[in-house]
Amino acid sequence: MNPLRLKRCIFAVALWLSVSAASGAGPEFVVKDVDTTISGRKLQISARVDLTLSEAAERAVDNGVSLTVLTEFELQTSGALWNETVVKGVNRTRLRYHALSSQYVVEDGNSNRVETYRTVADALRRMGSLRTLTLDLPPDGADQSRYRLAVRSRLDINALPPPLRTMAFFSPDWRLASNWTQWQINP
Amino acid sequence: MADKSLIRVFFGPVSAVVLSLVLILTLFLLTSAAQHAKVTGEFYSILLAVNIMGIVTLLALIAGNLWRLWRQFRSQVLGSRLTLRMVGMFVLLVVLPLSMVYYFSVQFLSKGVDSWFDVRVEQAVDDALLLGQTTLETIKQDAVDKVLESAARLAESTSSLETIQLLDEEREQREYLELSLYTTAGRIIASSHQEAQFLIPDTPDEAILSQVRQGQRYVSLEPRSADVHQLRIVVPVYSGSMGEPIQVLQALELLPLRYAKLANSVESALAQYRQMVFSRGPLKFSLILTLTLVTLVAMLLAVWGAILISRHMASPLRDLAEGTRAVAEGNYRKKLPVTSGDELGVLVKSFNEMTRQINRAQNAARRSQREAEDQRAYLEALLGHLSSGVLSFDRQRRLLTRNVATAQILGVDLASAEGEALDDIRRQQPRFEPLFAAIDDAVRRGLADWQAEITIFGKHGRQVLMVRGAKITGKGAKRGGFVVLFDDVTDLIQAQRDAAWGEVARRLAHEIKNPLTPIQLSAERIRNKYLDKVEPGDRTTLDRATRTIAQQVESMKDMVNAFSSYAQPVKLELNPVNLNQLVQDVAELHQREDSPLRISFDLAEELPPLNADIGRLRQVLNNLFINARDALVSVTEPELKLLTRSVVESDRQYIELEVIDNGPGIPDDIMDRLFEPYVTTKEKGTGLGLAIVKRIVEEHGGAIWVENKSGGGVKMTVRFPVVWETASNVTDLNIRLARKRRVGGKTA
Repeated sequence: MNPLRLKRCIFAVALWLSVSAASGAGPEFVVKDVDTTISGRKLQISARVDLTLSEAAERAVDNGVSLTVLTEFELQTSGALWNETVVKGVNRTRLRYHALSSQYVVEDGNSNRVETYRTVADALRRMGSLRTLTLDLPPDGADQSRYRLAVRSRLDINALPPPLRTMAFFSPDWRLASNWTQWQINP
Repeated sequence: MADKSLIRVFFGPVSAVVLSLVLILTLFLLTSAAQHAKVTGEFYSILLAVNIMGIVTLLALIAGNLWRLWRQFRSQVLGSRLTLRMVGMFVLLVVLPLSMVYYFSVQFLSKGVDSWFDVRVEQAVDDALLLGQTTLETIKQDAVDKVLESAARLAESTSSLETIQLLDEEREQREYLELSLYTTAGRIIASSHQEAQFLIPDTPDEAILSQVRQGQRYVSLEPRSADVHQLRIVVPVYSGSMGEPIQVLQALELLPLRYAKLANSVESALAQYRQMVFSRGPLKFSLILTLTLVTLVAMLLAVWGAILISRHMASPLRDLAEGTRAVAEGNYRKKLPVTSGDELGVLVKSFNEMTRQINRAQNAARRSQREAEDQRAYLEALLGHLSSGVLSFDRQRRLLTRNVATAQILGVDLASAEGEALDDIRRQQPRFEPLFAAIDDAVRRGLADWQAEITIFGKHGRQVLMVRGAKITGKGAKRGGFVVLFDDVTDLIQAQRDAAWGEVARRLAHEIKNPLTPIQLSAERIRNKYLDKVEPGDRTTLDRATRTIAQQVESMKDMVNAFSSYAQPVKLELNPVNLNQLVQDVAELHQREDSPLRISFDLAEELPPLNADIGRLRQVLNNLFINARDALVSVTEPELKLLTRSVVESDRQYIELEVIDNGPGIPDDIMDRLFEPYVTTKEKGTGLGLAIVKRIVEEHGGAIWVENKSGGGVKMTVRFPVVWETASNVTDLNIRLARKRRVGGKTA
């Protein structure tokens, strides 16, 4: 292949990648606020995440599909080249629609608490309000100010029913995730 | 080479098998993963990526193979056309059925999945939902009524203690899970729970409180687990029959287990069915995607396999084609690899056996050819060293071979005439007409063995050839023919003649000349002794007799001397001679003022010089002029015409001298023997003059002939070959001189 044709191919691939990235729904989950409290060797985390479902996801919920939202927490330190994860944790909340009672059910995976809401917005608001997560701090007793907490929320595609999973890999409607956000640890 | 073949094997069958296995395995896992919830998405993604990468690799391999095949086809590489055709055929055989299967499978999938969802089933599910909701509504209404009754009792309580007691009573009496009393702002007043350890009640949220503050009731079914559902009933508590609510009462009641199970069953079935309906599209997409991947992989594997199989199948044919081409180019050592034991393998083995046989035959033929060439070279060497000329002809009388001696004897190289028919050679070489005519005659007569003496006028003048011919027998059109050997016996004949004349001369000298002197002396003694003694009458007689004896003896002496002179070998001293000048000089000697003889000249200009012995030439001219002058004695107006000219005949140049008189001519009876010794028309002639002339002319390679003119007179023609002073001609002359050949003339 001659160099000109190769350059054109590379340009076309780059254009396709950029267009496909831009055409995606983008992060519809936004980590709004994270509050940390150190209690002994425990890091108490409360966070507020704005969760907005795509139309396809909302229709899926109304049709009996359970959605699982994962909120991932990573305690990181600055490395020479990249950040190093020290401890990680995840909060798993599940949203489903209960047709008999016409209510949305939110199940907190950590506390096993089940709550019902009349609207999906209320349910999402509850899902985005995280209060019960705890991370074990490293036992070295190093300066805690050098730690940072990285937080991200995303829809767990793996938890979808198998027939939906294949579609979710290819459809941007199902790529619901926030960016990784960094938060300072409050001593 | 080993590395290349290893790479070819690696990128050929080995990679095909490995890639096929990997793709089939990943496809199997992919189809399993699509149907099982336990398989994680990461694993599914990896499988999908591996599949896509495999397909891309397959596509690249196929494209590379097709491109290489196309280039080979464009370059007209042997076997590429066949391979391409086979690939096309295989691809067609694979793609068409697979496409049909794919099309109908997609149709079947789409319609099959759609057929799973019956309208009646959907209606039944909806009806079940409605029924469930109606039943729940009744249960909820009953629950609300009960809680309202509790609220009415609580409204009548006057103290906090009483309120707490009432709460406990109501909760126990009505089997509530929890019964709590709140202010309208949502602050807890009192609470009673089934389990004593639950200190904090399950407070309703602000939306419920707000609804209740407005005088409405709130009731909802809240699923807690699979078989646990609770009813939350929140009602206002009024102090009187009218007015604003003063408190809020919330009761949490577990749905009876029987209802809870039924509700859960309905809910599960409903959720599953709705989920299935919703997943219908994605399910079809998933199934069609998997089917597409499977079909694509199968198709690509089949195409790749078609290419590899076509190559493999065409390989022996390509080898055979290359082998055939090599054989056509003369390479009989070509060996083809036998890669299979099928019919193609047998064909390749047969080809190898054929080339081996051809090679063996070729080697044998080469050996035979080499032997034939050796024999031919030996024969040519033999012929080349023969002094005899050798000509061989085939059955069609075409000249096959001639040796070097042929050119030396004939003076013409017949190399260009090889392969030509005898008749054509006769036309091209008229000088050798007697030779070729004799050959032609013998061949036509079919003589097996023949011999002839032929006289030709060749490059060196008159030549006498002893020719012998023999028929060669052989089978086949190209075999057989005849061979002709000839020798130049001119020298031999001349030597024999010289020897004979020398012997005659010796005998004449011994037997005749020696007794002549005593005879002459005796006659003179008789005359001197008895002339005075005899009678006067007899004296005259004696004198005349003895004088006659002396004269005759003297005459005989002259005759013997002349004959000795003729018989003696001549030694020529060759030098360039201007013939015109010599003719004029000699003619001037014979031109007397008192003589009536008139001599005229017609001499050619720019006559080339002759290489001749001038003394001998002068002798020739003298004899010819004397003969002519003697012949013109009785003629009243004697005329002698001398003519010279240059003649080209058969690529050879000659100088001719004609001596023409207007005498009585030569009698026919002696015309044929005119140049033989002792043949003369003169009374006192020795008969040796013209014989000597002929001999001198022949010594110079020339010829002399005579003819009577039609108007009277004789024309004597002498022809001398012109020998140019070139290297080749000098060589010819030297050869001629070295051979001391005596060349005879021809007579007309």
